[in-house]
Amino acid sequence: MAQTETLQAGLVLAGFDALREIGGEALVQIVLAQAGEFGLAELANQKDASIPIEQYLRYRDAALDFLGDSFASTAFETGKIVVRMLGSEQLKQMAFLIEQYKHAASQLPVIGQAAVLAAKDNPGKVAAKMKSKDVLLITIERCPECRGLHRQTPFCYLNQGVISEFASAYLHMNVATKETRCMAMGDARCEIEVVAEGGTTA
Amino acid sequence: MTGEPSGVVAANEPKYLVGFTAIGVIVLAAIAYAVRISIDPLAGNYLLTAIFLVANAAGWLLGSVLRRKPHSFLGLLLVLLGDAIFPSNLYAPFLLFTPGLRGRVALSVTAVLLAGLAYHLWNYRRRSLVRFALPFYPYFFACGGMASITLLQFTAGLSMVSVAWLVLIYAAAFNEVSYRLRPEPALHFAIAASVIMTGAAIISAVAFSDRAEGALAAIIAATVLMIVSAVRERRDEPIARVHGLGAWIGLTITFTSLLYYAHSPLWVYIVATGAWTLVLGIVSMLPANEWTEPFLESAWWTEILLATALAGALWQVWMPMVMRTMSGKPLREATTLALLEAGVGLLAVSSWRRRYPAIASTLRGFVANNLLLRLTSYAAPLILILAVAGGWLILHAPEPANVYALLAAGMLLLIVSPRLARHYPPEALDFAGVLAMVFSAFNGLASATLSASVLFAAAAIFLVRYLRGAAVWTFTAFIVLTIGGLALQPMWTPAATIVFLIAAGVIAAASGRVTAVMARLGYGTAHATALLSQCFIEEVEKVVVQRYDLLHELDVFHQPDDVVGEECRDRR
Repeated sequence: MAQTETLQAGLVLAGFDALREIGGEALVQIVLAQAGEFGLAELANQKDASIPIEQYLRYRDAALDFLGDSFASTAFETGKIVVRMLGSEQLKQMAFLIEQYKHAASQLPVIGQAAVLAAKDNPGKVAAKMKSKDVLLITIERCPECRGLHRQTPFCYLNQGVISEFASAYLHMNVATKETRCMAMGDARCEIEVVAEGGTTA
Repeated sequence: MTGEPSGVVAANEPKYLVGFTAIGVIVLAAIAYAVRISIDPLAGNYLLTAIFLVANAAGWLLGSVLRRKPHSFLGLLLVLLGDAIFPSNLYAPFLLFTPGLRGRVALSVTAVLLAGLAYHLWNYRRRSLVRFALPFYPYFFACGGMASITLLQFTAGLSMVSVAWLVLIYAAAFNEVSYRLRPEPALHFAIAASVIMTGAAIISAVAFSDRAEGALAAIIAATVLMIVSAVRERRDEPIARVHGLGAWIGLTITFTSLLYYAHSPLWVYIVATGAWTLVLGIVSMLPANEWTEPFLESAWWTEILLATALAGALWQVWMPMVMRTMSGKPLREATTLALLEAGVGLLAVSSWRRRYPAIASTLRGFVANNLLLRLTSYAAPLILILAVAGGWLILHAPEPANVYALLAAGMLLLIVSPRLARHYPPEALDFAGVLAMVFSAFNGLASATLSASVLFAAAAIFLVRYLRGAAVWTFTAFIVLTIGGLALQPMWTPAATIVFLIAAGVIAAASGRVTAVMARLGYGTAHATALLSQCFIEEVEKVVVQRYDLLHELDVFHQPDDVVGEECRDRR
């Protein structure tokens, strides 16, 4: 029997915050109205609760319909907010992870390992490896972000926002991300390349 | 999976402990009975056999009834008991009473295995309904089949070479099924396939004991099969790496067999194994691409396995190099060289992985990577210390080697470890360094002065490191080593005087810091600190200051007490 795939409610709450930054509470309510009954009141106090992926996809589709092309930047911002919302236990784990890799020639492997470990228990399967000395390749099978979509261009900006904010907030480095394959474009899996850019954010 | 919250399980822990212990005792009794009647079939009797059979049937029947009630622990235990003792319960009647099998151990074991294979094959087809955990099946099919074929040597009188080829054919077929049909659980089927392919290579190696070329061909065929499998599975990294590990083990067996075929002396095996370990380490550091991916991580795993096996197998040779109480053994030169090769290989891999860490694909992989890396990091300097001790002997450096060589290696490690933090875990170098010093001091016990000097040397290194800003434990190490050295040393020697002067200087220069250190070392309360300081100072004054008027006049030992006293007053 297939298990129901779930996501953390915090992801949707981060999405609401990103919408608020653009159009205030009114925009959140509009998107929610489009998505149908969504249980916002319950979600607001349950950042760590799980929601079925279908519920997230309904929110995503409603936001995408309403925002059109500007959805990409909202999704990117959502990813960044997700990282900022990490709890103290997760922060401890991040600190441990960073400590493990502190002598590495490049900090990109930390991003890859964090992506893999953070995806545990989430829908999809994330893998990461160094494509070359300077390029980290993150692959996502059965990607929940673009699930069910058909598009001409890559779509997974939320994942890229998470990666960028993680690098900036915890590793004090700027990274450039580029999605080279996306399941929404018919590829077998999503692939995001990450390269370090000059300068730090410290 | 019962779905019980972990708290419930924790609360039931004594029940689980008692229940599983009871099962363990009964299973052990059943196995002991099976072994006993295998050695002497006349020891078997109807009553004991019947008791085990009744226990088996009762376990299954009662367990099934009780399990109708959800979460029945007793029901689960009884069913488990029935499952666990069933193979030996099948075996005993076969061996003792069944016509055609009576008194024939190999044939009876084969009958049990075939019955088990048939039963579990039938079960596997309806696996969603049965109680066995899914990963059980691939390993049982693989190992059960391999064991049945191996027993053909006794049941059908086949030669060992024939048996090796049959196992290889079975392994190849199993691997094909695993690759083409991807039966669930796929990863476990792949691991099981790799296990029997490696098993085929090992059985072929056993068959090669009389240098039969057919067995050598089987070893090479098994190795080629594993290499091909690894390359074929290259897109599924976990499976590819498992086959890669098998391929490296196969290559190791092949090279060893070739040495055997060439009638090589023992020292050649030792040196070649060390060199091969080094090669594996170098291979594991090569750049990854799609084709090499299965062989890189697995080369590192094989390197660790071989280095550990090498050090374990040669312990009787290297132990006398570091322990004065043991007498020397032959093959010292070969062992030293092999340990040097293995140690350098591990050292290089550890350093390389610190700079270029792997990215694990699961949490378990991440933990395993960390553990393996730690093992590599700690093993390398330890193995190299053994090699240094051996090299010291070979080069006829000043005796006693197991004091001076270890002293030199230990001091070197302790001195360089903080400087190499970027490239190597300092704690691993420190651990090896301290261990070398301890062995050196132990070996120097025949001469108290020599032994004390070793400890003073180590203490001095830790003191310098502490003063340069290292962690608190280095100061503790300094204190402990100094006390150890002093315990071995007559008070009036120049070395003891120097140590006292250094200690006094340190305490005078960093009295506040020392107090903080003492507090952090576990004497956390002001009371304990003050008490300790007072006792310590009184003792030191009694023993030391009275002998050293200069120190007494400077009164340096009172300074920490003043600080502690102030702190105590503040806290009150």
